Amino acid sequence: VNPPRLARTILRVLTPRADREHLLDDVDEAFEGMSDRPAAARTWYWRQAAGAAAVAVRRLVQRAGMRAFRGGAFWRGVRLDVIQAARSLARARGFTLLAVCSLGIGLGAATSLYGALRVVLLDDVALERPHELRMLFWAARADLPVSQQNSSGWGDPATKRAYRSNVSHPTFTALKQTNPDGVAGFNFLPSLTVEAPASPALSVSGLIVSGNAFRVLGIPMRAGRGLTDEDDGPDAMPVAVLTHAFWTRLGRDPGILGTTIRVNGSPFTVAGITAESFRGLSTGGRNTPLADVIVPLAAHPAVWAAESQSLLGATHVLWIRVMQRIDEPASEPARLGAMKARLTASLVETGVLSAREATEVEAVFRPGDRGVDPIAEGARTPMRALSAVVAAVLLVACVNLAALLLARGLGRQREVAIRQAIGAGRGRVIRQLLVESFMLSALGCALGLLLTVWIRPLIASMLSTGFGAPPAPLPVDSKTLVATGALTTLTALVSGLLPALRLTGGGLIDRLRQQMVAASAPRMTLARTLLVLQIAVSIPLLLSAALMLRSVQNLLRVDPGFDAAGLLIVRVDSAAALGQAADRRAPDAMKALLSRILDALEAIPGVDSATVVENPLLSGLSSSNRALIDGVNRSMYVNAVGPGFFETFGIRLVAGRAPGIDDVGGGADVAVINQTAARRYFGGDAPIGRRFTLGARELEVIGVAADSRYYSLRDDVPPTVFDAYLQRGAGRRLLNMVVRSRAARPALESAIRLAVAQVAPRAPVADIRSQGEYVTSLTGRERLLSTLLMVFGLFALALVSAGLYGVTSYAVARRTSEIGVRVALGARREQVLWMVLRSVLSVGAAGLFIGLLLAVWSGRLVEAFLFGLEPNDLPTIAIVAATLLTTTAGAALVPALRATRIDPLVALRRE
Amino acid sequence: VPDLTTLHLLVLVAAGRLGDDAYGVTVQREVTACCGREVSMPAVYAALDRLERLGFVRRRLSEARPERGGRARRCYIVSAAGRRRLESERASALRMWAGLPQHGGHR
Repeated sequence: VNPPRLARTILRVLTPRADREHLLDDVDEAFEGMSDRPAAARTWYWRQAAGAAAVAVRRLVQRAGMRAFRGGAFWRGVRLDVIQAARSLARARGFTLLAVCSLGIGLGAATSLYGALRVVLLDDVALERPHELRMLFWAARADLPVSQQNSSGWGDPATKRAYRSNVSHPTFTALKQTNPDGVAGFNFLPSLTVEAPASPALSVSGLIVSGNAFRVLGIPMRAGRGLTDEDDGPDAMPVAVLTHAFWTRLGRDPGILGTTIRVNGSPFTVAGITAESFRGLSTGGRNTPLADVIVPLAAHPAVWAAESQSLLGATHVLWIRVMQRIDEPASEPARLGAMKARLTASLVETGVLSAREATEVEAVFRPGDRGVDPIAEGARTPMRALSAVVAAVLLVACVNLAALLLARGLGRQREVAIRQAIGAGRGRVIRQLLVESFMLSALGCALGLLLTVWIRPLIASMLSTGFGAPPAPLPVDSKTLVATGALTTLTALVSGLLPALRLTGGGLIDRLRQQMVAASAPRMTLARTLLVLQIAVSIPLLLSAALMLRSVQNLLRVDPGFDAAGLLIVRVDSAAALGQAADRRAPDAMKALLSRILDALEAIPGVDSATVVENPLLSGLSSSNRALIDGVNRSMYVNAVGPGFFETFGIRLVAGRAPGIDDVGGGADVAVINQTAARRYFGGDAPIGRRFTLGARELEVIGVAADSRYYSLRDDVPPTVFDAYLQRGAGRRLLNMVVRSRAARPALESAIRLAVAQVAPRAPVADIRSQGEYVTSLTGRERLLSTLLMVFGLFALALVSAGLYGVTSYAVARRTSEIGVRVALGARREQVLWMVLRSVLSVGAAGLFIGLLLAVWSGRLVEAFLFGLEPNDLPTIAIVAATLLTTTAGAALVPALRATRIDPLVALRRE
Repeated sequence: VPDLTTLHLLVLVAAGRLGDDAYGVTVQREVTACCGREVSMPAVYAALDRLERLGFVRRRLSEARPERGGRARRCYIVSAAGRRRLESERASALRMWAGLPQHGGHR
């Protein structure tokens, strides 16, 4: 049983530092002694926290009291002010609640969001001097005839050029020569099977690195040695390094050094264990996972997913990412220039580019301090948008507090005048008002702290978009907390001082007299201006949120071209199933295994059909290769599909047939193309029976399939070729089995695991996901952004309505006698109602107008994430405007109705 | 002679009874068990703190405790001044109580 976390935090915060550790230890010890009665123990723990609060208050009062006696009248006066402020705030309960809540929400939202920002934008990987690291990306025309494997990159739609991270091994060797001690190559191994002694086969992820990577990147070691250039030689003994995390998973046996583990069935000697701080060359992700095992590039035939033959001489297979260390900032342009020159030369030498195209090659460095970080890469823009949001929410909260304090100040003219009349000095009154503001901001800060503690896990879980990866723990950033706290305190100070000065200045008699007659309505210009500002700031927030929400809806409404409902993707490790590497190469063994598994899956009650596919559709995975069609070089997306693929996914065959179980290695290689490919590359006329070259293979078109989405819901369907899974060589390590069924998921899942275990006992089922989960994960970034924007948009809206409510309430209270007179002179209820609402709606309309102007600018921040609508989408704007005006009217309605109930006799008697 | 509140006195007595084994947990348990009075750990700490500043108890660190992740306990021992104070408190309390008739003197 764990102690209640919040109570523990309170204890920790409230205990003096000298006692903190001992006290917490003592409390925890006593708590553990009560573990047989967990409920009572929790109550007891909370009582300790309450006791800490009591002691802290007593200590504070004692200290303040002693100072007052020592320091004289000033502090004694402040002490009285504190007591009086507490009383006065307790009396104005509604106001205090509004002010404290709006401050707390703003502060809590801002700090927790900033914590998230830091994780996504600022935290680096545990390498030596990570800020010196640069990732190489290079651009050439987009449809380069190469096979890219596990790469990152981005396209520039304007120039039709694609930036890529990967190079071939010959190119990498050439690049390394420019700076042997500064250029390292690596890539991620998302899915491996490791068999360690005395441990079942484990499904893990890893890194494949050049021999110099440990030295260049400065990967910290805990025990043993890192990989060296010798390990990366062609005839080297295969060695591997384990990360601390994986070593821990294996049971932290220090004797593991020097023993042999099997990675995908091949033996590797364990050379070392990395330090605990090193988790990988990324911050996680499906294709760029954190590392468990690190092996040298030379070991790739055993571990690289797509190939079982050597890639060392392959010129058109791009599989290595390049990182360079720039130890002299000044040398960066020169190093980049050297890299670019060598890269271009190598690309031409290896025949990837023609000499004419070589002039267009571009190379850029990207910061490598966070390793390869697809989340951050994609999240930089939304995070910039979000930091604007943080600022906006904080601004709204501060403005809100200011408006509330101003409104309250106006209502206190009488009180202040009377206090001054009976002898209080001006400074004395101002001090008292300031103490009140400070108390408010202190309460708000406390609430903000609590909210931060609560919101953090929520935001952390929203940030982990990929499934499987646990959310990274978010730090509570003490500097942010202090900064935001200081800002709110400053706001409280300024907005407390303004009315204090105004209230205490001017002739006393005038002010008292002004109170006595039915004064005209206070205009509250400043408070109303602040409200306008507040509304204006929240409009871009709400509008962006609404735009993102509709984009996500649009994305999910896209017809993928196949029937996603009822599809389950089961990933099975075939390397383990097939055993030794030698067997794996035999196509017959693969065919036998596949038909055994497929038969077993289809025998499950409720399963309609089952198939196997290289890349599950809309999973974020895709392959492409160069194709030679009628003598023209083309780039095509490729997917290897097993028997029953089109039937299982519900993709219509327009013509011809699909690859079956008998299309195995040995016979003529066959393929189905989609309609886009048929139209664009085969002229649309009867492509069946025609032959073309894909990579190094000759394929015959045996069918044409209807278009379906492959890797993205946003982009158009690419020209795609579906070749026969069983003809693709049997080197794949991971089988993506796809099952279509009508059965309920939990029962089906266990049935699938059972079926696979019976057919292939040594093959772990890596995971089972529905197609829906893949699509959800694919839209993760958009959903993350829209959720965060929505949450903070609603925060802002709540703050706005709180401010409007507070200010309108005060306005009505101040105008009581005026309204009484109006009613006495014959004003009807609805006229009074409209009078109050009108003034609020004019504030709303003004805010809306300015806000829409701001939104024109802020729309650009989210534009890249929109789908199926423009930033100036009229219906969305209309919805936001309507929501805002409704909220405005709603917030003002209660005080407005209160105004209509004013009895003229009561109102006038008050004077 | 500095004034002690009831809680301070209870904590001092508890520390005296516990001898070498007086630390937060045992003191809190002792006070609760003997008087049925719920005292929070922070209050116990505050009382011990004051008693220490008055010179009635001295703190020392125990050896490292494996069950606390290798950290030591903060233990307290009643000092000579504390012993004298306990004795005088006991004497005056006994004198005071001695004059009180059983059952409130109503029979």
